[in-house]
Amino acid sequence: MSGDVLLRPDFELSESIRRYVRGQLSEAETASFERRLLDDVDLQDQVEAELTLREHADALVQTAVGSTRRELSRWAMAASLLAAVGVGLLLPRPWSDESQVGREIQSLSFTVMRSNESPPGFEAKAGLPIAARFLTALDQPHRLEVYAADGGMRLAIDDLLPDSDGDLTVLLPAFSTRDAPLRLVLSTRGRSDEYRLLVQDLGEGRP
Amino acid sequence: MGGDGDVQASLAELAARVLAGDRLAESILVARLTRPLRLVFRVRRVSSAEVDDLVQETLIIVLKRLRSSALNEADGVQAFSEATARNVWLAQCRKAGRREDLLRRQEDSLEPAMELPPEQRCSREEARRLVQESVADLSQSRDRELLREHYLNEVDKEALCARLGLSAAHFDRTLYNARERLRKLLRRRGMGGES
Repeated sequence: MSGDVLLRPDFELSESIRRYVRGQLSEAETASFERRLLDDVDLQDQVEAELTLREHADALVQTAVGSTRRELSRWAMAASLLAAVGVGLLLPRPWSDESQVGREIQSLSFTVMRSNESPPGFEAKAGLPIAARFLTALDQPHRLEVYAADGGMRLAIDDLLPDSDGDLTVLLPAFSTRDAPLRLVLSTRGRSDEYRLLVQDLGEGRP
Repeated sequence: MGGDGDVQASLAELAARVLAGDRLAESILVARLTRPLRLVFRVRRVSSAEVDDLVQETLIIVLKRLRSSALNEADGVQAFSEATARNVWLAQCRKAGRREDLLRRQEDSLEPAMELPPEQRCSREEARRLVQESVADLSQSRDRELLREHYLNEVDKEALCARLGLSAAHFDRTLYNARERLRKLLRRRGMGGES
């Protein structure tokens, strides 16, 4: 028989520690908790860790930024791979003009145009994924939500961070004309921008 | 008296020996109570510059009491220490209130806090690094957001669970895991006592 003993996490005690450090215990509960604390080294360790998290919580922001940057680079890598596939499919064809380049993956730049009447409109082709580029000067995590014409949410992506030039690039799936016009909402702390995306049937005007 | 038995001795046993005039028992008792008393004052947001003074003041009162008479209850040392620490803290709050009041009346401003000595600055950097390390492996951005919002922006549990669509059990588990990882890292770095 093994001598190791696996202890189940004591979430009740964990909650008491959290509330104690936040000053949410009653006077009697605090007194009782501190009496135990004075003679329980394990509890002292846990309170120490909880206090350290509280006292150095600003360090959590750097971690968040670091990981969102990693997430963004994964998205960028996925976009590059898809773009490479797209370019590969195009290679046998002559590139007659700029519109041909984005045949398999379309590139769209969303710029903010302030208007009181309606959000700025952009056009995409149905059935093709979109490498969407948003210009934003705010170096903080953003959230992108995509809504279909019926109001239903089709997509939500959190923790998007702009690159050093202030561009935020994200790969969006292909949309159908049935969903159009779509509404894109890019939000971050204290700011939200909206865009309208029309979707054109690929059959129309195809050479 | 001394040896391994001192390490195992309960606070009640040490208190009895202090009453009997055992100076070694006093030292052991002081060593045993210093860390938790520091935590008690840190939780009350006492500045790091003042924590040591308050701990010393508390320990002096506790030792005087133990030298003079016996404590009746089994957990008498803990109860007396806890009550003493609370009273010392309240007295400090009153003192600080009077001081601020005096400065206000003199239309003066509070003097700037002294800069931390280099060894404490290093320790702070180390603690920050360990905090980052303890949450670095979290794969869910939602869990990172939870910790950030709770510890940095002090958003309370109920509000945060409602906002992020999480259960209370998920919240408890995320905090527990983060704290456990940090606890192990602190211990490994020998930082169990201070941050």
